[in-house]
Amino acid sequence: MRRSTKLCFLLLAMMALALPQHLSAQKDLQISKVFDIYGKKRGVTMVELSGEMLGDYNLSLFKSIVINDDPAAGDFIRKCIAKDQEGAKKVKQVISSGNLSTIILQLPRKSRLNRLILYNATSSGYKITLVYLESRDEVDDILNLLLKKK
Amino acid sequence: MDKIMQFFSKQTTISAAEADALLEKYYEGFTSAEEERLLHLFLSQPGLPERYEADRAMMGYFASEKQVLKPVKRPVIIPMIRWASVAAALIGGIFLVRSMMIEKPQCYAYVDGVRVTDMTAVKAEAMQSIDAIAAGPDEVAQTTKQFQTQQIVKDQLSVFSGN
Repeated sequence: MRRSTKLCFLLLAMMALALPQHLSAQKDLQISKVFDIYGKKRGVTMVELSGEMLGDYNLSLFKSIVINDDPAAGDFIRKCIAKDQEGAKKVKQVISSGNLSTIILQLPRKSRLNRLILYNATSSGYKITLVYLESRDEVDDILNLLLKKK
Repeated sequence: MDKIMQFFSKQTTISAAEADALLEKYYEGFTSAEEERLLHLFLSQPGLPERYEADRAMMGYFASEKQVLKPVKRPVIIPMIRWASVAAALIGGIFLVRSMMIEKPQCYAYVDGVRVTDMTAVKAEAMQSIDAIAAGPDEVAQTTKQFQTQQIVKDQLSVFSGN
């Protein structure tokens, strides 16, 4: 192999190592499609907070979406969660009247980040909330901080 | 004498007369590399007449100086500069890519398709979505409450109480 070719390979390898790996942490999940498809629609509220904006909570990424009165979106979200559930740890699941009411999934760590999916649907299914979190903290600490009763 | 000189320079391509001519040309500074090589070959022969001693010393001196210069200076300095420049380019490239790819802090919300960037409003929306999730345990508590033993016993005994 020529020296210039070797140098090119070395350069590419170092560039790949230098890339911030957490950039793609959420993109490999099915729920990322939910944010992409429904995020900017009417009747939907989508929030994204990252970096220093989340200083108080020790999170590195917070994404949430609240969808009102859209049963098709509900079906789509549940399918996405079912797919993302493969290889994930189920922290909590509540099924009400045969329907998934609440689920909290702990996804496999990526780039030293703990990743969580939180889902809740009201009993009527009218309001669906989906949250995705990334943090370096332990899962218990994140949930205690966020979900403690007010 | 010329015959003897011819003998001495048998292994070279030049005769003594040609060597004399080339030496003259050499001291004037007009010789080519090939002519200098021929001269060097001629003078490096053993048993040359004494009149060539000064020329041999001169040519030998320059030859040895060239040998010293070659291995010491070139291989050490030039590769170092080359590798240093490659390393600098690599490091520069890595920093450039990192600075381009690092995510900037995000703080926004879309409410009914309208982008909101006010930090307070965005955080309020975030808290609302978390509150919706946090409401979950209450549902669990309500469900389990129905199955408390005391309640079941009470419900079953109520049949006999006539109420």
